Amino acid sequence: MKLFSKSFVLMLILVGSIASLGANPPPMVNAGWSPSAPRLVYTEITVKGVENAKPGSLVVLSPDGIEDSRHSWDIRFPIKFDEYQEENGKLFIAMPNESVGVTLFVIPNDNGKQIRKIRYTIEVEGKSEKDDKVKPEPDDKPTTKFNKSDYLVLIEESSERTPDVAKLVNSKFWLTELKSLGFNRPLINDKDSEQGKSFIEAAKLFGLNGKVPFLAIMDKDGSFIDAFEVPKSTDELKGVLGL
Amino acid sequence: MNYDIIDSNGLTYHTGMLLPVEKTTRVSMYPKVSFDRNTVEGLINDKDRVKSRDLFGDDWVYNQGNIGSCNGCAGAKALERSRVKSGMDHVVLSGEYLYSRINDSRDIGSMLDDGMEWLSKNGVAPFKSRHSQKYRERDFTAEDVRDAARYKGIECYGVDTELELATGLALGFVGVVAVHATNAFMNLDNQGRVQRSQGPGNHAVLVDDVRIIDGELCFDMANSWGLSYGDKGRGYLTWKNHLSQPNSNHYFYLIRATSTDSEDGTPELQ
Repeated sequence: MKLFSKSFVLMLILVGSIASLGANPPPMVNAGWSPSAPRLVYTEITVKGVENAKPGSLVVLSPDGIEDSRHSWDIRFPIKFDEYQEENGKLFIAMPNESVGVTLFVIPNDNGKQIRKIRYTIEVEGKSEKDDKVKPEPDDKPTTKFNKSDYLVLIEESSERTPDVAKLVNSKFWLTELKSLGFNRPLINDKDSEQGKSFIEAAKLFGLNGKVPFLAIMDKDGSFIDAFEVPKSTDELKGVLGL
Repeated sequence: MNYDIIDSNGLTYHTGMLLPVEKTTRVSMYPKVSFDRNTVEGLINDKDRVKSRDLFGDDWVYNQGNIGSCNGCAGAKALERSRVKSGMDHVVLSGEYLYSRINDSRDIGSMLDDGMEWLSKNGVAPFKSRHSQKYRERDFTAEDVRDAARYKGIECYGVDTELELATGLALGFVGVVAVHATNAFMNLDNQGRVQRSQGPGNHAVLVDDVRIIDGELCFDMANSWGLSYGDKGRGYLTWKNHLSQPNSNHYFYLIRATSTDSEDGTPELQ
């Protein structure tokens, strides 16, 4: 059932703008930048906005720390959701009765710098734990754009490789199928290697706390694209990669 | 010491492993308790699992020829496989180079422990045709030494029980073990298992997989005696018939992870 119309969203924007005049700025939420990253030197980019909101309320998100860059917003979930609007670089959301996941893309004007992607989630205020346990259907899971020139990378503590990870890295999909489909062979980096450390620092920017194991996607130029937890099965991984 | 075996066709095969005065290792032992047998079997029997025999076919089989470089070859070829399993390109590494670093420039064989320590600390040079059948340090160049630093096993550890070895191989790691090659070692049964051949250990081989045959854990050995040995260079070993006695004198090893190489065409995170 559609909760709101576009005009309702615009009305909320107008009301929200008036109400916010003279009010305290929304809290700043750090998206996870780590000052100790050895090889990744970034300006701190954050999303400003609330982390919890009641259904029907207006949520306003704005980027911070994106000088000399363009930016855009994307809704990651719910999949079928259009009660939002971009205005003057801000994202206005009419909060539905479920969590909303957004991605802020920051594209530096300097072509030599890499595109940044900041993920942010707004939870429903007052939602019970029971509601939280309701998991989205597999079809609703966001997929990651995975190109043939990209590299899928596992970062792990090899001394603690689990049976699930072992099944994945010894599977036909991992060892032969990806290559035969025209993709690069997936890479494995131990967390104590130089590459492993770099991936862990970069993953913190994507909402992962650096806990291994996790999977990352790197493009052919060595730019970090995405990171996510290791799926439980190869079929689930194929879904995440959109294959 | 080097020990020669002559098969029924008159072909001679060389061994080349030294017996330590006492069982010792300078490589870390596997810090984690092994999986239980059921977990190991679950991994081995996973229908989606790729067998190492299918991944590393005939092109991967090497022949150490007339020198006692089995330990160098086993370590170098284990590192090759470990690199490819980590997603890197296949670079043929020089077993002769590794052997020359751990034999005091004499063709007298080498110690299992020395090979694994060298490949994890200093690396193994890529194979060049001029390396063939060489074993003295002076046979290799400064360029070889420099290149070797690009190819290291950065996570090597010792294993000392059947279940530790099976756990590591089931997880996808590659190892080096000691066997005692006798004439019986030349014969395989109809399941591909090597005939019982026990002793203190005179030959090093790599193992890159494990499977269950007749309820028994069987370790898939890739020997360094060319395709004419066994089943296209391979055979299955068991703890009871091949590894238990050599293990009383030697720690075995597994390579968990390898160094990355910025020059091999795979990008590094910027």
